[in-house]
Amino acid sequence: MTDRIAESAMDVPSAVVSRSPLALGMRRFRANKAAMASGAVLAAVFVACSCVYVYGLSEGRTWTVGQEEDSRVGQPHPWPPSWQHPFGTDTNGRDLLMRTLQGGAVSLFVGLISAAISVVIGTVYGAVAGQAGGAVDRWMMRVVDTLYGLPYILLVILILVYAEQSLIVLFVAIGCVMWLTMARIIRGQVLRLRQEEFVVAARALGAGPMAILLRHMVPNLLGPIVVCATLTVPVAILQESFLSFLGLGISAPLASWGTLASDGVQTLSPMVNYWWLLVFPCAMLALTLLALNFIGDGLRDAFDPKLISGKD
Amino acid sequence: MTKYVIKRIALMLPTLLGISFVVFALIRFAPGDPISLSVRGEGGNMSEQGGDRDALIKLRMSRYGLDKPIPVQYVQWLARMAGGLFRGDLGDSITEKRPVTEMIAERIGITIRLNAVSLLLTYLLAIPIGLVAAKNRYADPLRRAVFDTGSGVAVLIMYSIPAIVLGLMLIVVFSKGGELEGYLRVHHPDWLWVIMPVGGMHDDQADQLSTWAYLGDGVRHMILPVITLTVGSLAYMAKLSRTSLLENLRMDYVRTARAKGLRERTVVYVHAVRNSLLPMITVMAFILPALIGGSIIVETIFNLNGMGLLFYTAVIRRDYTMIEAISLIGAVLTLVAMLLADLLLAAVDPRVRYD
Repeated sequence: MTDRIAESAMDVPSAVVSRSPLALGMRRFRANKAAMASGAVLAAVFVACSCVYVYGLSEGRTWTVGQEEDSRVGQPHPWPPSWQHPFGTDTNGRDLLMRTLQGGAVSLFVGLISAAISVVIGTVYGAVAGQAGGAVDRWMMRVVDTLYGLPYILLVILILVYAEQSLIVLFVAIGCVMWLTMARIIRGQVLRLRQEEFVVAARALGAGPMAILLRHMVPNLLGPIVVCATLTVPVAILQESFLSFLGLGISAPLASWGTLASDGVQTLSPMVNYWWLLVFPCAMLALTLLALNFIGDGLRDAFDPKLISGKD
Repeated sequence: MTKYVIKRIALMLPTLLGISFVVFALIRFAPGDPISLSVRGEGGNMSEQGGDRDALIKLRMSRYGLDKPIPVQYVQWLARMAGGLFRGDLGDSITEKRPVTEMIAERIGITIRLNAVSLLLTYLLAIPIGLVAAKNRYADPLRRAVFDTGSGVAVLIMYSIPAIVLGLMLIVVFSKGGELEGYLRVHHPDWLWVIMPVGGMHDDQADQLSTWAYLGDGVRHMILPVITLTVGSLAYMAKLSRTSLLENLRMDYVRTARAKGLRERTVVYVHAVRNSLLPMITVMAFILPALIGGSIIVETIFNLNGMGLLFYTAVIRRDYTMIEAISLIGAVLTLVAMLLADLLLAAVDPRVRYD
């Protein structure tokens, strides 16, 4: 705590500028080079994927190799990587780079939406439990413990067989099983904040529980929420890729990194080796997850009060 | 203490009840049921006699009590479980018509073997990695860059590689018939041993091998799956072990130990490391469910006949009894692991007490 005050006091040149915890955290984050570089990589992947996806949608393009090129090369698909097709082509003669970017858009989309769902559920649940306290809190946490007892992948598979394989079910299924950790973290933070002097003061001044939650706690919770959300996105993408790999997630006309990988596996055999069908989607998936984890770790280092006071 | 344990065990029952309810509700309301799915799978000639087929489905449904309303089925199922649980009877599989426990007993060995080896490796490797990283945190820049930052990046990379990607890559590179095997055969025949068998726990003709060769064959079949299963949890634990040790090295008692003039080695290994292991005990309770989930991934990729694959096929075929049984076994394992972790923590940390 004293460190934080000292730090903000030091870099105030003339006038006293008060900085929110969020602004302070963001400044610490910007000093982290690895996390910033990962941010750039992720932004590039995101922009490339969504551009290709939107362009493909609007033009109705499937990125199939044109007939003249087909006859010029005169070779059955899939083609190995070349200058024209850096990732090669797939068994249907589609450019794999474009397919991978298109699939990436779906994967990222699933990751972001599911993480958003889990963040909303987890935050609300955790905040309500923490703020209510007593028996309500105990029962609400008992429910979380119960669901924790179920291996979550079993739960996702169970939810997925429920409905037709659609994107929305997928979001909800993944989002619904990942909010538990979030709820625990937020509850813990709310319980901690409830003891803080400024919250006690607000309560003494007659502020209601909702006002305390929204005005005083939420700004202090933003750090943990952002950190947890960032670390949830890669997990959601992972879940999606695994489910798609099993054939439970994204289905045929759409593609994701998981379905591309599973398509790649199906072509594997001792006779032929179309390694690029497997390697490129998997590499893109791993790269994106790596960038997301670097950012998440950087955010945690920047926002975790325990680490900040230790100057680590 | 005894009272606490009894209370915890008593609390498991409502939790298990809740889990069984969630699973039951989810799977019963899902479209498709085991009978129609298996009758449809029994052949095309059935479809010609449509009336017979419907009658057959109805007959089999009533045999398993599946024609009753779902709440009634749940209560009946609970009653059957309450009676059967102590006799080790969890009902018969609907699709295979054999006792569920028998089928699980056949498969659970593989899953336990995979998870036990993986858990052991995780702890054995994660603690030293975290130790080396934390110890060099405040060393000179070069050592810090190599050991702390280097291992940190490596750990994060390991953490970010999805199990399916890793498993598939390992298969592509190290399996029989891959590019690498062809290359080694031509250029480095003495390195051919790195090519690993993929699929199953043993070769087809492994029975004819001598005991040692048979064991070796089993080990070779497990190497790739175990790597796939371990890398993620290892990275997580290594990260945890590093943070925990760093936190302890900043504590006052470490400063006191140094001020007393203890050797640095004693300070780190005797004082700090032992205390830094505490959170790793707590985490064990959360690693176990993750491993169970992970074995579904590994078993499907490497085609191993374990519990994960059993559960997956049961879900696809809507084998209700099997799904319930495996979910309950998974839940019991998780709850017991949580309890054991808490008790172990109380045993080694005098600050933690349950009265």
